[in-house]
Amino acid sequence: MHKAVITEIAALVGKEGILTAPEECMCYSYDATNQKFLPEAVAFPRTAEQIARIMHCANRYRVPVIPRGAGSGFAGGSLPVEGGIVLALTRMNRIIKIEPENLTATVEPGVVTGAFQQAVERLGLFYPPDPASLKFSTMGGNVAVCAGGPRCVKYGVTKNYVLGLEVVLPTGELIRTGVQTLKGVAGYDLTALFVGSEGTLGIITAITVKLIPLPPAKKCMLAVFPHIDDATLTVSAIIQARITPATLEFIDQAAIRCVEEYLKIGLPADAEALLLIEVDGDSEAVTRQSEQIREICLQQGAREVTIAHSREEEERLWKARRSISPALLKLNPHKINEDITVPISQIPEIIRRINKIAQKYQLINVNFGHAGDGNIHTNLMINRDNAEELSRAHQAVREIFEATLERGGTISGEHGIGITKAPYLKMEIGDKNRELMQQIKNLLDPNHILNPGKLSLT
Amino acid sequence: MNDLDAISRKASQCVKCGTCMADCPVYGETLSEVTSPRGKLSLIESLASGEIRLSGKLHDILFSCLACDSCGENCPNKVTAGEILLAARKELVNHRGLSPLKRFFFRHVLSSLKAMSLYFRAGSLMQGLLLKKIPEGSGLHLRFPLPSLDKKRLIPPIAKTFFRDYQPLLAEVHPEKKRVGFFVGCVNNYLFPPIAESSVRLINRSGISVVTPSDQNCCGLMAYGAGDWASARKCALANIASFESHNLDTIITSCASCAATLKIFYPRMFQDADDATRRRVQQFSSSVRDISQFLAGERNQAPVMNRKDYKHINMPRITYHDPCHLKRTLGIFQEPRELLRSLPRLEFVEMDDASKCCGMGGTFTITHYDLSMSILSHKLDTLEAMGADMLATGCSGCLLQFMDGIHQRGLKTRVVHLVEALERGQDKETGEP
Repeated sequence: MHKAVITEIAALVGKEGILTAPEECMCYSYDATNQKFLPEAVAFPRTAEQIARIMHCANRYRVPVIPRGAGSGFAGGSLPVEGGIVLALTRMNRIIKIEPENLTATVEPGVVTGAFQQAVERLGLFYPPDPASLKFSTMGGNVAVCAGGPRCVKYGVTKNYVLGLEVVLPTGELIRTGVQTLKGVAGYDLTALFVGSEGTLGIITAITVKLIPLPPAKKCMLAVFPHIDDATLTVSAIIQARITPATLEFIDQAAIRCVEEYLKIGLPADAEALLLIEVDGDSEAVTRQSEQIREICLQQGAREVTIAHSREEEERLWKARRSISPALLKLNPHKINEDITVPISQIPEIIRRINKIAQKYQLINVNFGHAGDGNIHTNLMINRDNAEELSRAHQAVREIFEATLERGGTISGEHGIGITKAPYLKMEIGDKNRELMQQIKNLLDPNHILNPGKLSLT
Repeated sequence: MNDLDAISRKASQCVKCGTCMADCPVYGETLSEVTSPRGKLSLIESLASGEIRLSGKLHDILFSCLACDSCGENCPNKVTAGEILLAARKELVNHRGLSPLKRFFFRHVLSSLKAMSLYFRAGSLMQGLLLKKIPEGSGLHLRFPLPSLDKKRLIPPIAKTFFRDYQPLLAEVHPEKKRVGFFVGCVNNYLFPPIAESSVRLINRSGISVVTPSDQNCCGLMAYGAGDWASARKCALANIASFESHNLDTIITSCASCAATLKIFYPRMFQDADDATRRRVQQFSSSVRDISQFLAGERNQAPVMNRKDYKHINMPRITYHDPCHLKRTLGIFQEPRELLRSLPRLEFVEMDDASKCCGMGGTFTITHYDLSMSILSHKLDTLEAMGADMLATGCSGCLLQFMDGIHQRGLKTRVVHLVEALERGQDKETGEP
């Protein structure tokens, strides 16, 4: 990379705002995929104006620029696969305004999602998207991949809350998309284009989101199912009873056993599945709905249903769900973690199919996830150092994706495509869609310098 | 570099999920991954694989850590980044050596009882020349700037007489009663003898005699943290020898950092030693107790007395800060609270984020003073908002840090060691804590 690029960027962001030593660049070479690509420099801009100027400079020298939030993505979206400059947006972390009277808030991209949620909840407001990484992942990163979470079943995902954006285009122009209001239809919905674009079309520098009132009450319960099919059918039964729980999480037997071995908290190792269900709203509605759900679970074959009556009991129930990821690594050192999503009615069938595919390729697999919205985290537990096992796993992933698409699903519910799912993207969207995506990319980023090599785009 | 390979294997257990960034106090301020736990772990891996070399830069990065172990608390893979980092610092020192100043200090002062006492004695006599008394407080400020010490910093005065010099070897309750050893620690010996005195009185009050060998040394934590395990081991062996001759099955200390060093870090420092030495170290370490753990245990065994009700108005409100070395290294956090709650003359109130690190981190506060203070500022915000009259803690490092920060901000909260609070808040008539 041209030395002049570093000099120019340093002049913009100051000496404190740029890192070039190999030791420092190393700390921006990875994300939660645990893959490694070394950038040539890391810049910490503070303003949209600085970012705009950085983009002008990068275009002149044709240097790749990779926007990055917390680097907690599961698809490699923030990895500098072609080197270049990482734009670390973590220091643009101001909550610009919260407007309770308008039910909106505007934040910079580096604001940590969990911190933002706490800030609005103190005012009795609610920003529901809750990816598992919310304590450290950023609003900018969440918007870039359209992050979801357990609460999606009732409250939707990030895109359902983004009203407007401020974006620096790859060519350095600063634009505003969308609105500051709860509705708005002036022109194409460019906001929707940038949400989920994984940092390939522009750098988000401010986000306006809508807020809703914080539900005053919630109740959490855990249902134990001796048979897995009864559990998956219960998910459909609850939805068909016209009840929308705030979360509806599914945990299969392999996950139960793993967690129990890890934590020893008395989970039933003989059960084939657990459902962790939460309802929220007015306290009377919450009490009524939790009773209804308990009835449905029991009718569908649940052996027992525990309703939490205190914050501590609630924590105990959630602990099982939250401990799955760490506990899994007991099974095998590595996991291939996919986040397929199917129509809710297809859950029983897709779980059966996934288990058959895993059996066929002799792989240990664990399924858990947000059953309420059809999003299943299917984990193939492998040892990456075993090349033969790895290749079996890759074949299995392809078949799982095929099965998902056959049932009207999608290959990624909330993690994004990045580099890990790029080879499979065309299976789902087809040639014409991919070509359209490439044309949009060419239009906005003629020199192909913004986050190149992602989403199978050039 | 076999040791480095072993350390790197541990570091490679990190899957880079990023959870530690939510908990790391240093990352929380810098918002740069270079100071994040997963960043440092990736550097240790890269060093072992030869991708990067030992450099001044790497040294600085590996030392921009408080060793508070917050990162390990929620790590899904239970990677012990703090421990890995301290081991990596040792490798750094083995291959690059120590700075001349550190070398002199660790080899010739810290690990030598005579030299340390001599320097502190000289300091005690000379401090008036270098430092000026702060009119409103009990601390000192530098008269003129010195390298590595910030002029804003509050420096507690060195005591006129040192605890180990005047404390009798045996503070006896009754010749036939049980005896325990007392490890004083440098800060309590040279700066805060009243804390050591309170500690001995409280142990005596539970009917137990206290043996304080005068030839005990510094615990060696500062050298261990800096990667100079040779000096740290020298301290360890001197301390073990000092207590061994008195044949005690319990050794109590009222400094959390000393307790963690004696109990957890000593066995780590000697894990490659011969069997006999390892057994000796293990035996010593297993006898070490933090004073809160000891007093809470004694309290549970003693019959509960009927206490008068002092819960009247104007009772001072006291809160508690968890030292990292007590909460995370030793798992002690309930005992100090139990003791504080039992006090008839103080009202215990829990503070938010009580176990968040205060930012001291031993030499971290010297090498990164501004960063250390901004980490502390969050705790001060909490104290200010809750308006507590007293803050108790159990570690000399935390005490120094809070004294400085509270003075600079002008808060009315008084910082005390747990043992001082226990004496202050007990029932005056029965003497019961």
